[in-house]
Amino acid sequence: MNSSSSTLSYRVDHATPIDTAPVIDAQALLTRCMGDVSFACLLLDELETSGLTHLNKIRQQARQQNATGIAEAAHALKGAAGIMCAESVAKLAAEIEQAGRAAELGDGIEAMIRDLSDEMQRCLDGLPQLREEMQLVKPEGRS
Amino acid sequence: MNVLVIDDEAIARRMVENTLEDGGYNVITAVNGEQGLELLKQFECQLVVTDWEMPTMNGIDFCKAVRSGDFPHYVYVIMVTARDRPSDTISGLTIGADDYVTKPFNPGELLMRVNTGRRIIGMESREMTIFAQAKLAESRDPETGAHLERVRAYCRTLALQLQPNPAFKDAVDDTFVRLVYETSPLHDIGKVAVPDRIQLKPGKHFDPAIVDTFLAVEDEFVQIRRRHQDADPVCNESGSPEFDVSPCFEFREEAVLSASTTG
Repeated sequence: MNSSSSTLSYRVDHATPIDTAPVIDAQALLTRCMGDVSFACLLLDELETSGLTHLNKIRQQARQQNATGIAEAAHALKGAAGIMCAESVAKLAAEIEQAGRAAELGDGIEAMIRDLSDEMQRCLDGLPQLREEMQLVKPEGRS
Repeated sequence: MNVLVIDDEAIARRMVENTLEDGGYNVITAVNGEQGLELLKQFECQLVVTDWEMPTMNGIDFCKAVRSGDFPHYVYVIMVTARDRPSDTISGLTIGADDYVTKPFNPGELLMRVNTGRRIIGMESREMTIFAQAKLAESRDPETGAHLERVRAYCRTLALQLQPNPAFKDAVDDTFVRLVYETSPLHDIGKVAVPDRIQLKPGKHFDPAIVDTFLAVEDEFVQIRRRHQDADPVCNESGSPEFDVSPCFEFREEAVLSASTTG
């Protein structure tokens, strides 16, 4: 990992309250992308579309009271968010997946889906700034 | 080398694809197990990285289909999934996956695991073929015991002894040592062509009488050559002398028959 990525200000700081901390850990994402900024930005583009698709699927399955469908859609989002280093999104999706697998479809799951939607929105809102900051990073040997 | 990556989730699929392409692999992608199976039939591909949960055909059913399928080579399957409970890992490996990685994965680790798979496939293909051929030859001779195992161990020991010697420094490297270990069992492969009546003949193959017969054959051969060298040879197009050696071969055949029926 290149040292220049440490200049990023957009990263999780554990002293920062959770609702104001960036959803995506940019440094961890860049490390996962082996320092390839353009590839990281490509994944952010993908998240912008597929993240919402997964979320809509969860909502749709919840409306249909389909516990298995909820679990499967939440599982997909959990995997994607995990890869994108969006821990809070992955954690909320994991909780919904677990509730779906346990067929617990009460008011609780609706609240969980609301929390996930809020966190996902916060994640998407932060993407432009994240992209800008990532473009400034010039890792060694990569574009 | 081709690697088939199967994942319905675009971010995960792209991440695996990018990681493996960075590692020098040629990546083919599919979005579910069914599509993956089709691609596996179309392309020469022995390495698969697959997700578990997918629509149409999931990773487990894909794995079952691969294991029960008629593929020309062993297919090494790595399951990459967000199912992270120990019981999931056990289920995945039980069903026939060769390795199991949980999401979010470390790209370097995934690449190393794929490299390991590649190494295992390479070892399996080469070693199994060589050793199976050698075992086939050995199986025709029940008296050799663990001969092949001993020979390859001796060959490796000898090669390792030669390795530090400056005279062999260019020839006997680690690859040579490995190859001599893998290929030395083939030294008896010629046995497969020896007729059963000789190979399975009880007792000694060559008693003194048979040795005398072969010496006579040799002597006859030398005499034929000398006769033709002394005479003005009739040469063929390539300049080699043309002479009839059939009496010699007939004599040899007679000796072989004699060896198989006596003793």
